[in-house]
Amino acid sequence: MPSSEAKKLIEELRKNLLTIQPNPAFEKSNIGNIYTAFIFSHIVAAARDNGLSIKYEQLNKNAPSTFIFRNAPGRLHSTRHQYTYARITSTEQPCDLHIGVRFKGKSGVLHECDISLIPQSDTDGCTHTNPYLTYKNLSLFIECKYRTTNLSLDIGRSFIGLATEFSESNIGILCSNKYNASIYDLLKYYYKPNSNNISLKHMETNSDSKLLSDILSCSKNNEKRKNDNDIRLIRLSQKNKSDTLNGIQE
Amino acid sequence: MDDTDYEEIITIFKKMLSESGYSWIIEDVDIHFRTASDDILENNIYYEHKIKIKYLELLLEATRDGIITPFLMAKQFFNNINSSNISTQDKSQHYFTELTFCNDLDVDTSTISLEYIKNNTVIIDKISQSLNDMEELLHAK
Repeated sequence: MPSSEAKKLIEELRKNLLTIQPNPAFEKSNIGNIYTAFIFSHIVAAARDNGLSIKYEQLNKNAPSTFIFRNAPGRLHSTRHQYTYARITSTEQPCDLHIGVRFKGKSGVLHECDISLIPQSDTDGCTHTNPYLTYKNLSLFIECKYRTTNLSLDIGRSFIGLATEFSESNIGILCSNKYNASIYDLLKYYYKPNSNNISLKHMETNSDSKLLSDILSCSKNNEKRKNDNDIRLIRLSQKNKSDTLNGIQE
Repeated sequence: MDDTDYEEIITIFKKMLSESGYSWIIEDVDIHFRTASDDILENNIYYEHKIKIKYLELLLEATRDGIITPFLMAKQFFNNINSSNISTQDKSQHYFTELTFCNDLDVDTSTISLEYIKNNTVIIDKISQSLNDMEELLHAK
Protein backbone atom coordinates (compact mmCIF):
# COMPACT_ATOMS: atom_id res chain seq x y z
CA MET A 1 0.00 0.00 0.00
CA PRO A 2 1.80 3.15 -1.16
CA SER A 3 1.81 5.47 1.81
CA SER A 4 1.80 8.74 -0.19
CA GLU A 5 -1.29 7.73 -2.20
CA ALA A 6 -3.10 6.68 0.95
CA LYS A 7 -2.35 10.02 2.59
CA LYS A 8 -3.64 11.83 -0.47
CA LEU A 9 -6.91 9.85 -0.38
CA ILE A 10 -7.37 10.51 3.31
CA GLU A 11 -6.93 14.21 2.67
CA GLU A 12 -9.60 14.03 -0.05
CA LEU A 13 -11.89 12.20 2.36
CA ARG A 14 -11.33 14.87 4.99
CA LYS A 15 -12.28 17.66 2.58
CA ASN A 16 -15.36 15.85 1.31
CA LEU A 17 -16.60 14.77 4.75
CA LEU A 18 -16.47 18.38 5.89
CA THR A 19 -18.50 19.39 2.83
CA ILE A 20 -21.54 17.23 3.70
CA GLN A 21 -24.40 19.36 5.04
CA PRO A 22 -24.88 18.45 8.72
CA ASN A 23 -28.14 16.60 9.36
CA PRO A 24 -29.03 15.02 12.72
CA ALA A 25 -31.03 12.36 10.89
CA PHE A 26 -27.72 10.78 9.85
CA GLU A 27 -26.23 10.71 13.33
CA LYS A 28 -25.35 7.34 14.80
CA SER A 29 -28.47 7.20 16.97
CA ASN A 30 -30.77 7.41 13.96
CA ILE A 31 -29.06 5.14 11.43
CA GLY A 32 -31.04 2.13 12.66
CA ASN A 33 -34.24 4.03 11.95
CA ILE A 34 -33.11 4.78 8.41
CA TYR A 35 -32.47 1.08 7.96
CA THR A 36 -35.97 0.25 9.22
CA ALA A 37 -37.45 2.80 6.82
CA PHE A 38 -35.38 1.24 4.03
CA ILE A 39 -36.69 -2.27 4.79
CA PHE A 40 -40.25 -0.95 5.11
CA SER A 41 -39.96 0.64 1.68
CA HIS A 42 -38.69 -2.62 0.21
CA ILE A 43 -41.67 -4.55 1.50
CA VAL A 44 -43.98 -1.94 0.04
CA ALA A 45 -42.13 -2.05 -3.28
CA ALA A 46 -42.29 -5.84 -3.32
CA ALA A 47 -46.03 -5.77 -2.69
CA ARG A 48 -46.50 -3.24 -5.48
CA ASP A 49 -44.33 -5.23 -7.89
CA ASN A 50 -46.51 -8.24 -7.26
CA GLY A 51 -49.77 -6.53 -8.02
CA LEU A 52 -50.93 -5.42 -4.60
CA SER A 53 -52.36 -1.96 -4.15
CA ILE A 54 -50.53 0.40 -1.79
CA LYS A 55 -51.93 3.43 -0.06
CA TYR A 56 -50.24 5.50 2.62
CA GLU A 57 -52.40 6.58 5.49
CA GLN A 58 -52.49 8.08 8.94
CA LEU A 59 -54.94 7.14 11.67
CA ASN A 60 -56.93 10.34 11.01
CA LYS A 61 -57.32 9.03 7.44
CA ASN A 62 -55.58 12.01 5.91
CA ALA A 63 -53.24 11.38 3.03
CA PRO A 64 -49.79 12.34 4.32
CA SER A 65 -47.37 14.60 2.47
CA THR A 66 -44.50 13.93 4.84
CA PHE A 67 -43.68 10.38 5.84
CA ILE A 68 -43.88 10.44 9.65
CA PHE A 69 -41.68 7.72 11.10
CA ARG A 70 -42.08 6.74 14.75
CA ASN A 71 -38.52 6.59 16.14
CA ALA A 72 -39.46 5.46 19.65
CA PRO A 73 -41.87 2.62 20.40
CA GLY A 74 -45.43 3.51 21.28
CA ARG A 75 -49.03 2.51 21.02
CA LEU A 76 -50.64 2.47 17.62
CA HIS A 77 -53.14 5.15 18.47
CA SER A 78 -51.22 8.34 19.18
CA THR A 79 -52.76 11.75 19.74
CA ARG A 80 -49.36 13.42 19.39
CA HIS A 81 -48.40 12.57 15.82
CA GLN A 82 -50.07 11.03 12.81
CA TYR A 83 -47.56 8.31 12.02
CA THR A 84 -47.59 7.01 8.48
CA TYR A 85 -48.39 3.42 7.62
CA ALA A 86 -48.97 1.51 4.39
CA ARG A 87 -52.35 0.00 3.62
CA ILE A 88 -51.85 -3.06 1.43
CA THR A 89 -54.93 -4.29 -0.34
CA SER A 90 -55.79 -6.99 -2.79
CA THR A 91 -58.69 -9.32 -3.27
CA GLU A 92 -57.56 -11.08 -0.10
CA GLN A 93 -57.65 -9.71 3.42
CA PRO A 94 -56.41 -6.10 3.48
CA CYS A 95 -53.66 -5.36 5.96
CA ASP A 96 -51.50 -2.52 7.24
CA LEU A 97 -47.75 -2.24 7.60
CA HIS A 98 -46.71 -0.21 10.65
CA ILE A 99 -43.44 1.00 12.15
CA GLY A 100 -42.42 1.09 15.82
CA VAL A 101 -45.68 -0.08 17.37
CA ARG A 102 -45.78 -1.87 20.71
CA PHE A 103 -47.66 -5.14 21.09
CA LYS A 104 -48.47 -7.12 24.18
CA GLY A 105 -46.70 -10.45 24.20
CA LYS A 106 -48.00 -13.70 25.68
CA SER A 107 -46.74 -12.62 29.10
CA GLY A 108 -48.64 -9.34 28.90
CA VAL A 109 -45.39 -7.39 28.59
CA LEU A 110 -45.23 -4.76 25.86
CA HIS A 111 -42.65 -5.20 23.11
CA GLU A 112 -41.75 -3.00 20.18
CA CYS A 113 -42.03 -4.33 16.65
CA ASP A 114 -39.78 -2.44 14.27
CA ILE A 115 -42.12 -3.39 11.44
CA SER A 116 -45.46 -5.13 11.88
CA LEU A 117 -48.21 -6.32 9.61
CA ILE A 118 -51.73 -6.45 11.03
CA PRO A 119 -55.21 -6.82 9.55
CA GLN A 120 -56.75 -3.53 8.47
CA SER A 121 -59.68 -4.06 10.83
CA ASP A 122 -57.27 -4.18 13.79
CA THR A 123 -55.79 -0.81 12.85
CA ASP A 124 -59.22 0.69 12.51
CA GLY A 125 -60.38 -0.80 15.80
CA CYS A 126 -57.49 0.67 17.76
CA THR A 127 -58.48 3.82 19.66
CA HIS A 128 -57.17 5.86 22.57
CA THR A 129 -59.41 3.88 24.93
CA ASN A 130 -58.24 0.61 23.45
CA PRO A 131 -54.68 1.51 22.51
CA TYR A 132 -52.65 -1.68 22.71
CA LEU A 133 -52.63 -4.53 20.28
CA THR A 134 -51.50 -7.99 21.27
CA TYR A 135 -49.49 -10.79 19.70
CA LYS A 136 -52.78 -12.17 18.41
CA ASN A 137 -53.11 -9.19 16.07
CA LEU A 138 -49.71 -9.76 14.44
CA SER A 139 -49.47 -11.39 11.03
CA LEU A 140 -45.80 -10.56 10.61
CA PHE A 141 -43.12 -8.90 12.69
CA ILE A 142 -39.68 -7.79 11.63
CA GLU A 143 -36.74 -6.82 13.78
CA CYS A 144 -34.30 -4.51 11.98
CA LYS A 145 -30.71 -4.32 13.19
CA TYR A 146 -28.18 -2.11 11.45
CA ARG A 147 -24.58 -2.33 12.56
CA THR A 148 -21.31 -0.77 11.38
CA THR A 149 -19.18 -3.64 12.67
CA ASN A 150 -20.52 -6.96 13.89
CA LEU A 151 -23.92 -8.36 14.74
CA SER A 152 -23.58 -9.58 18.31
CA LEU A 153 -25.01 -12.85 19.53
CA ASP A 154 -27.23 -10.91 21.94
CA ILE A 155 -29.38 -9.94 18.99
CA GLY A 156 -30.15 -13.60 18.27
CA ARG A 157 -30.90 -14.33 21.90
CA SER A 158 -33.25 -11.35 22.12
CA PHE A 159 -34.99 -12.34 18.94
CA ILE A 160 -35.73 -15.80 20.31
CA GLY A 161 -37.33 -14.17 23.34
CA LEU A 162 -39.40 -11.88 21.16
CA ALA A 163 -40.41 -14.74 18.87
CA THR A 164 -41.54 -16.69 21.91
CA GLU A 165 -43.69 -13.78 23.08
CA PHE A 166 -45.15 -13.38 19.60
CA SER A 167 -45.26 -17.04 18.73
CA GLU A 168 -48.76 -16.96 17.33
CA SER A 169 -47.59 -14.62 14.62
CA ASN A 170 -47.18 -16.42 11.33
CA ILE A 171 -43.78 -15.09 10.47
CA GLY A 172 -40.97 -13.35 12.32
CA ILE A 173 -37.95 -11.97 10.55
CA LEU A 174 -34.63 -10.82 11.89
CA CYS A 175 -33.23 -8.39 9.43
CA SER A 176 -29.67 -7.05 9.50
CA ASN A 177 -26.97 -5.67 7.24
CA LYS A 178 -24.48 -8.02 8.93
CA TYR A 179 -24.26 -11.76 9.13
CA ASN A 180 -23.47 -13.82 12.20
CA ALA A 181 -23.15 -17.58 11.77
CA SER A 182 -23.80 -18.21 15.46
CA ILE A 183 -27.14 -16.40 15.28
CA TYR A 184 -27.99 -18.45 12.23
CA ASP A 185 -27.26 -21.66 14.13
CA LEU A 186 -29.14 -20.45 17.19
CA LEU A 187 -32.28 -19.61 15.25
CA LYS A 188 -32.04 -22.77 13.22
CA TYR A 189 -31.91 -24.84 16.39
CA TYR A 190 -34.91 -23.22 18.02
CA TYR A 191 -37.09 -22.86 14.96
CA LYS A 192 -36.99 -26.01 12.93
CA PRO A 193 -39.03 -26.19 9.75
CA ASN A 194 -42.67 -27.02 10.32
CA SER A 195 -42.15 -27.69 14.01
CA ASN A 196 -43.18 -24.28 15.25
CA ASN A 197 -45.68 -21.70 14.33
CA ILE A 198 -43.07 -19.19 13.29
CA SER A 199 -40.67 -19.01 10.39
CA LEU A 200 -37.47 -17.06 10.27
CA LYS A 201 -36.49 -16.16 6.78
CA HIS A 202 -33.62 -14.68 4.93
CA MET A 203 -33.77 -12.16 2.16
CA GLU A 204 -31.01 -10.48 0.24
CA THR A 205 -32.66 -7.12 0.03
CA ASN A 206 -31.31 -6.44 -3.41
CA SER A 207 -32.88 -9.43 -5.04
CA ASP A 208 -35.66 -11.00 -3.07
CA SER A 209 -38.72 -8.95 -3.84
CA LYS A 210 -40.52 -12.15 -4.83
CA LEU A 211 -39.73 -13.68 -1.47
CA LEU A 212 -40.90 -10.55 0.33
CA SER A 213 -44.13 -10.67 -1.56
CA ASP A 214 -44.48 -14.36 -0.85
CA ILE A 215 -44.02 -13.72 2.86
CA LEU A 216 -46.54 -10.91 2.76
CA SER A 217 -49.00 -13.13 1.01
CA CYS A 218 -48.58 -15.96 3.52
CA SER A 219 -48.88 -13.54 6.43
CA LYS A 220 -52.07 -12.15 5.06
CA ASN A 221 -53.53 -15.55 4.31
CA ASN A 222 -52.61 -17.11 7.60
CA GLU A 223 -50.58 -19.83 5.90
CA LYS A 224 -47.27 -21.46 6.51
CA ARG A 225 -44.67 -20.93 3.84
CA LYS A 226 -43.65 -24.01 1.97
CA ASN A 227 -40.03 -25.13 1.74
CA ASP A 228 -39.03 -23.66 5.06
CA ASN A 229 -35.85 -25.66 4.95
CA ASP A 230 -33.45 -23.08 6.18
CA ILE A 231 -33.16 -19.98 8.26
CA ARG A 232 -31.06 -17.08 7.23
CA LEU A 233 -30.68 -13.43 8.06
CA ILE A 234 -31.66 -10.60 5.84
CA ARG A 235 -28.61 -8.60 4.95
CA LEU A 236 -27.32 -6.27 2.34
CA SER A 237 -24.83 -7.74 -0.03
CA GLN A 238 -21.36 -7.06 1.33
CA LYS A 239 -19.78 -6.78 -2.08
CA ASN A 240 -20.33 -3.55 -3.97
CA LYS A 241 -22.86 -2.37 -1.45
CA SER A 242 -23.14 1.05 -3.07
CA ASP A 243 -23.71 -0.49 -6.48
CA THR A 244 -26.29 -2.84 -5.04
CA LEU A 245 -28.22 -0.03 -3.44
CA ASN A 246 -28.05 2.07 -6.56
CA GLY A 247 -29.08 -0.92 -8.60
CA ILE A 248 -32.33 -1.26 -6.73
CA GLN A 249 -33.56 1.97 -8.25
CA GLU A 250 -33.64 0.50 -11.68
CA MET B 1 4.55 -0.42 3.21
CA ASP B 2 6.06 -1.66 6.45
CA ASP B 3 4.45 -1.77 9.88
CA THR B 4 5.38 1.84 10.62
CA ASP B 5 3.65 3.02 7.46
CA TYR B 6 0.43 1.16 8.33
CA GLU B 7 0.51 2.63 11.80
CA GLU B 8 0.93 6.09 10.35
CA ILE B 9 -1.98 5.63 7.90
CA ILE B 10 -4.23 4.31 10.67
CA THR B 11 -3.34 7.29 12.86
CA ILE B 12 -4.02 9.80 10.08
CA PHE B 13 -7.28 8.07 9.11
CA LYS B 14 -8.54 8.06 12.70
CA LYS B 15 -7.56 11.71 13.15
CA MET B 16 -9.42 12.56 9.95
CA LEU B 17 -12.58 10.79 11.20
CA SER B 18 -12.40 12.48 14.59
CA GLU B 19 -11.93 15.93 13.11
CA SER B 20 -14.87 15.33 10.75
CA GLY B 21 -17.21 14.44 13.63
CA TYR B 22 -17.15 10.67 13.21
CA SER B 23 -15.20 9.57 16.28
CA TRP B 24 -18.07 7.17 17.07
CA ILE B 25 -16.99 5.07 14.08
CA ILE B 26 -13.55 4.63 15.66
CA GLU B 27 -15.17 3.69 18.97
CA ASP B 28 -17.34 1.06 17.24
CA VAL B 29 -14.34 -0.46 15.48
CA ASP B 30 -12.21 -0.45 18.63
CA ILE B 31 -14.92 -2.21 20.62
CA HIS B 32 -15.33 -4.81 17.88
CA PHE B 33 -11.57 -5.23 17.47
CA ARG B 34 -11.07 -5.86 21.17
CA THR B 35 -13.85 -8.44 21.36
CA ALA B 36 -12.70 -10.18 18.17
CA SER B 37 -8.97 -9.92 18.92
CA ASP B 38 -8.54 -13.59 19.82
CA ASP B 39 -9.70 -14.71 16.38
CA ILE B 40 -7.70 -12.05 14.61
CA LEU B 41 -4.53 -12.87 16.54
CA GLU B 42 -4.97 -16.60 16.02
CA ASN B 43 -5.20 -16.19 12.26
CA ASN B 44 -2.37 -13.67 11.97
CA ILE B 45 -0.03 -14.52 14.79
CA TYR B 46 3.08 -14.63 12.59
CA TYR B 47 2.19 -11.58 10.53
CA GLU B 48 1.88 -8.48 12.64
CA HIS B 49 1.29 -6.25 9.63
CA LYS B 50 -1.80 -8.35 8.76
CA ILE B 51 -3.35 -7.37 12.07
CA LYS B 52 -2.86 -3.72 11.16
CA ILE B 53 -4.33 -4.34 7.71
CA LYS B 54 -7.31 -6.04 9.33
CA TYR B 55 -7.82 -3.06 11.59
CA LEU B 56 -7.64 -0.65 8.66
CA GLU B 57 -10.12 -2.82 6.72
CA LEU B 58 -12.54 -2.65 9.62
CA LEU B 59 -12.15 1.13 9.79
CA LEU B 60 -12.88 1.50 6.09
CA GLU B 61 -15.89 -0.81 6.23
CA ALA B 62 -17.32 0.93 9.28
CA THR B 63 -16.80 4.31 7.62
CA ARG B 64 -18.79 3.09 4.63
CA ASP B 65 -21.51 1.59 6.84
CA GLY B 66 -21.61 4.69 9.02
CA ILE B 67 -21.74 7.34 6.29
CA ILE B 68 -22.33 6.07 2.76
CA THR B 69 -24.84 3.26 3.25
CA PRO B 70 -27.29 5.22 5.44
CA PHE B 71 -27.38 7.97 2.82
CA LEU B 72 -28.02 5.46 0.02
CA MET B 73 -30.69 3.71 2.07
CA ALA B 74 -32.51 7.01 2.60
CA LYS B 75 -32.26 7.72 -1.12
CA GLN B 76 -33.64 4.28 -1.89
CA PHE B 77 -36.44 4.75 0.62
CA PHE B 78 -37.77 7.70 -1.38
CA ASN B 79 -37.42 5.80 -4.64
CA ASN B 80 -39.32 2.79 -3.31
CA ILE B 81 -41.99 4.68 -1.48
CA ASN B 82 -42.76 7.14 -4.24
CA SER B 83 -42.69 4.69 -7.09
CA SER B 84 -45.13 2.59 -5.12
CA ASN B 85 -47.52 5.50 -5.14
CA ILE B 86 -47.25 6.38 -8.77
CA SER B 87 -49.02 3.27 -9.95
CA THR B 88 -51.82 3.32 -7.43
CA GLN B 89 -52.49 6.85 -6.30
CA ASP B 90 -52.55 10.44 -7.41
CA LYS B 91 -48.88 11.33 -7.45
CA SER B 92 -49.48 14.99 -6.67
CA GLN B 93 -51.19 14.15 -3.38
CA HIS B 94 -48.93 11.37 -2.18
CA TYR B 95 -45.43 12.09 -3.40
CA PHE B 96 -43.25 12.14 -0.30
CA THR B 97 -40.54 14.77 -0.25
CA GLU B 98 -39.69 14.41 3.44
CA LEU B 99 -39.10 11.63 5.92
CA THR B 100 -39.50 12.88 9.49
CA PHE B 101 -38.37 10.88 12.50
CA CYS B 102 -40.24 11.75 15.67
CA ASN B 103 -42.00 10.31 18.71
CA ASP B 104 -44.69 11.13 21.24
CA LEU B 105 -42.19 12.78 23.56
CA ASP B 106 -40.99 15.13 20.82
CA VAL B 107 -37.33 14.40 21.41
CA ASP B 108 -34.82 13.33 18.74
CA THR B 109 -36.84 14.78 15.91
CA SER B 110 -35.05 15.00 12.58
CA THR B 111 -35.91 15.11 8.91
CA ILE B 112 -34.42 13.90 5.65
CA SER B 113 -35.70 15.70 2.60
CA LEU B 114 -35.37 14.78 -1.03
CA GLU B 115 -33.69 18.15 -1.45
CA TYR B 116 -31.01 17.14 1.06
CA ILE B 117 -30.45 13.86 -0.78
CA LYS B 118 -30.16 15.71 -4.06
CA ASN B 119 -27.75 18.31 -2.68
CA ASN B 120 -25.40 15.76 -1.15
CA THR B 121 -25.41 12.92 -3.67
CA VAL B 122 -22.31 14.08 -5.53
CA ILE B 123 -20.24 14.50 -2.40
CA ILE B 124 -21.35 11.10 -1.05
CA ASP B 125 -20.34 9.52 -4.36
CA LYS B 126 -16.91 11.12 -4.06
CA ILE B 127 -16.46 9.83 -0.52
CA SER B 128 -17.56 6.38 -1.63
CA GLN B 129 -15.03 6.44 -4.45
CA SER B 130 -12.23 7.49 -2.10
CA LEU B 131 -13.10 4.58 0.20
CA ASN B 132 -13.08 2.21 -2.78
CA ASP B 133 -9.66 3.52 -3.78
CA MET B 134 -8.37 3.09 -0.24
CA GLU B 135 -9.58 -0.51 -0.20
CA GLU B 136 -7.92 -1.18 -3.54
CA LEU B 137 -4.66 0.31 -2.33
CA LEU B 138 -4.82 -1.76 0.81
CA HIS B 139 -5.11 -4.98 -1.15
CA ALA B 140 -2.71 -4.06 -3.96
CA LYS B 141 0.47 -6.13 -4.01
